[in-house]
Amino acid sequence: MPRVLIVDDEPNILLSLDYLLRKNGHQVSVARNGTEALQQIEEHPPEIVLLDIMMPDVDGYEICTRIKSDPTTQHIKVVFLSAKSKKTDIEKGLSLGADMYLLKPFSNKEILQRIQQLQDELH
Amino acid sequence: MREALLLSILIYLGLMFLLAQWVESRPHTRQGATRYALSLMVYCTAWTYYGSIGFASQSGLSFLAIYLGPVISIPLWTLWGRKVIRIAKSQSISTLADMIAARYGKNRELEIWVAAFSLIAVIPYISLQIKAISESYSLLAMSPSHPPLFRDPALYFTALLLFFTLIFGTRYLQANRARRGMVSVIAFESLFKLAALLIGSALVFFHFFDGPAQAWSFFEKAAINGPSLRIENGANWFWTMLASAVAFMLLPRQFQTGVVENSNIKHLWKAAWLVPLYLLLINLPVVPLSMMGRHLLPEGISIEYSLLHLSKAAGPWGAGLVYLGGFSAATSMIIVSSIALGNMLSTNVVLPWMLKTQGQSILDQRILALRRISLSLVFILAFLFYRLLKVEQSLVSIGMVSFIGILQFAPAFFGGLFWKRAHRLGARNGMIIGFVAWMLMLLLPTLGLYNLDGFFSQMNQATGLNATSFSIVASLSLNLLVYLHLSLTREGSRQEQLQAELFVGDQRIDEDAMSPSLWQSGTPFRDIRSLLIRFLGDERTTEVLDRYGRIHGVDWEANPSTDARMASYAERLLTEAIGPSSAHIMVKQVVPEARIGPEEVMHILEESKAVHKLNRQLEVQHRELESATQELQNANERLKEFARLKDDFLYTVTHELRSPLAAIRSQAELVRDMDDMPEEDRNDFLHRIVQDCERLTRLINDVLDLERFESGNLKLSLSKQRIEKITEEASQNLATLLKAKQIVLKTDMAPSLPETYFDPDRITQVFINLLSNAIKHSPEGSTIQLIIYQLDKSLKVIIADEGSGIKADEKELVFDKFYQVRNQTRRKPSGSGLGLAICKNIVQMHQGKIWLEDHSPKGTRAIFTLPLYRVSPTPNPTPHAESTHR
Repeated sequence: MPRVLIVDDEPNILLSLDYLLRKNGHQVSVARNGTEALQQIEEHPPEIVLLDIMMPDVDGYEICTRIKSDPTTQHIKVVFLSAKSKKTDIEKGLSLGADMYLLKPFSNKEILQRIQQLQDELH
Repeated sequence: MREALLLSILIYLGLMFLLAQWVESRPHTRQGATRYALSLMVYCTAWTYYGSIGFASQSGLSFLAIYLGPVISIPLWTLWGRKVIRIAKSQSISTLADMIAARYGKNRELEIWVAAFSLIAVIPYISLQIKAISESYSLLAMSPSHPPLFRDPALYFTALLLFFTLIFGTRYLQANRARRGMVSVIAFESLFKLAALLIGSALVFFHFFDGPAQAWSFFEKAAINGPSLRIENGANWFWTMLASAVAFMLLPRQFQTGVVENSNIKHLWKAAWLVPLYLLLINLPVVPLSMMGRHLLPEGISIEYSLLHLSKAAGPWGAGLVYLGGFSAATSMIIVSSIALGNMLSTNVVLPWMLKTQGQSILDQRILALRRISLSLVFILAFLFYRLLKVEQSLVSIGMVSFIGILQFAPAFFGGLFWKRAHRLGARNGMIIGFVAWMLMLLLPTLGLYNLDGFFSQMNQATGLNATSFSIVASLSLNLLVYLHLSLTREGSRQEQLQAELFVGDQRIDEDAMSPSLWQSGTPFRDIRSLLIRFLGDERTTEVLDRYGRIHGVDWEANPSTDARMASYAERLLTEAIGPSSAHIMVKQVVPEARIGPEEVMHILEESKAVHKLNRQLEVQHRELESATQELQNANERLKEFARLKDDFLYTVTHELRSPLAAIRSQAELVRDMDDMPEEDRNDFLHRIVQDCERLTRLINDVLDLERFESGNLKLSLSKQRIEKITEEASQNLATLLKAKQIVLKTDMAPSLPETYFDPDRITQVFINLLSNAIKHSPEGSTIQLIIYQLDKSLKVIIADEGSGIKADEKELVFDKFYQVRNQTRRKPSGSGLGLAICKNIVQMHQGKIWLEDHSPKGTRAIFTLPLYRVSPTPNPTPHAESTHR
């Protein structure tokens, strides 16, 4: 089973997604801000990252850019999960190399489907 | 001595160059009234500086008449001067010959006569100034008084002056364009010669007298032995004063500084008192110096140069200063007179002839060259006159001769200003008769061609008038008689009548007004254009035509035929370069004159007045329209900015709503979809869902609050309260939060804070917002301080936490609603993002201030002030409308 890293500064979203993915048999780790996320990616690179954009320290765009520009991490699938709904925001996210851009609020079912889809691509 | 003297002359000239250059290089400084008044004092030449002393030693106080004339007539001159200046500006007039010719129908013959007579009358006068420079130099430097040509220092001084005048006097093609550098130099020289004379005299007095008592007894004795100091023979005084009053206005150098170089008519008022004061000061030492010269200097020394001789005794510095003062008096006269005469010679004499012979060639550069050549010619003539004729006359007499020559212009000039019937033939013939009489009686005898002493002494016995006064009376009466007779018997041409109306009439002709004209419409534009190019050059023609087109809204491409107004505009432009009569003739070659009767002349005048008035009104309306347009544009910009901010705000609000909504939905789905979820987890999720819902509600309330604040719809409801009550309520409200993080709230308040008016609910909101912010940023177990004390007219509230502090550049930004608006990807750590913006609005509605500071050793202080209102204030409904839209 691939490992999923959830990055969000909204504790209730973090909690809910963590619960959902664990119950569906995923290996999960969480990061409450950008700094924690970067640290985890370096120490235990996950296969998939669910990434919020607006965070107080390092924003999601920056994290995505770093993941995709480092040869040791660029295989990681990046899924933006953001409340930023403008077309320009979405285009920017995808242009930085993200694999998907999902909007908040999301349905749990959709999250599970998307992760399944990415998992299939990995194998 | 000689080397030092030469050196100081060179330094002095160098300073003049620098001054002129400096003024010219600062195009935006204004010519002041003082500078104008001082430049008029070019009237005082070396004749005043040296000659008055000699004159006084022979004939007592008579020399004063030359200064009393201008002093008495200056009130008149301030009145007439306004008229003359206004006419000169509106008709682009640049010489006295232009002025007289323009009045009499832009008559070419007349301008040639005026120019020729001016040259004849003034060139000897310029020679006298050169003579003064040279003689005073040889006195001081002990060099021979009649050196050969190339060893004559005057040659080199004159050459330097010519060089200077060429640079600063003939810069522009337009002869009426202000010579700012030159005028500044003339004004400076006026100050310098006055200072040199006064200081030099003071030095001499202190050198020769030990005290006032000794000086007094000396002058008492000298007064008895010398010429009478009483005013005798009033008639002689009167005629001299009349001649000098006219000279003060009409001498070429006076017309140049007083009319052509005037930049503002109001400057006349300053001249009205500064000129008499100056003349008084410069004449003060004359009589005492003449007495000292007569009694203290050895026999056979020219009394004219008394001051120089006396100051030599007082030491080399004094003598040098006195010499430079005389030098400056002479040079300023030479410079201005030769500019004025040079302009007359080129514009009024040579150019008309050149235009006849030169066909259609382009002339703009040649006109400038011609003006320079003419100027040089004036210098050369004056210098030759000085060298060849070796005039042995005193400085005074040749000056007076020159004055009486200029006096012959007075009937034509003043008659032209105030008498509509005045006719060009009268002006011309009167002037010629007067000049001939003047030449025969004064100029030729003065030059030593023959002697009229016998004739004048006979006349003196018959009339009681001296030679000067008799010549004035004789020449002026002949002049006037002819002038009056011919004017009364002839009728002027239409052009002459029109100009007479303009000169005499009470029409206020302003500088910018278009002169009415007798031109026909319908001339092809290209004809006028090529005429202008011929004289003004390509560049300036394009410039002036563009300006004209802009002002009058004319498009030459679309409308190739011109109207009468355009023709007179062209005539005025040409006048700047070639004078009024040449300009008139040139335009006449291209544009036909309208054939009209005398009633129509009046009609044209009325029309031009009306058009002028209309133009003024249009101009005002145009300006109003422009400023209204500008305001609309600004308002539009503000609206656009406002709309953009609204968009941003909306986007940020929806974004802020999406986050808690996402949490709520996700958690609710978990609870719905997982039947096997443990009871404990289910309750936890439900609890969190409720929390998120509360957060959403708060956020929506905040947004609505802020909108009401900013639209001005929310009014404060003020009541008299104690601040302690509010802080209590706020801390109770936050007790749970404080407890959760084990934070101590330490309150520090002065015991007797006064009651004051504020809105209790809103101020409670401020306290809660600031305190909950502080709690959010405080580490567990830390302390938050709440400090309140009274300032002069307000309460100051400080809420200090021990959190991680705030960056300097964010201290103000955090008060912007959703300050992520500008920083799209960084989330503000606190809750809704609106708390501080709301606090700022509330505090500002109370007329207080709010800001953030660093707290030592770490943390942040939120501070706000609350003005003390003992009585209920009238709250300003929207004090924040601008401040929140930064």
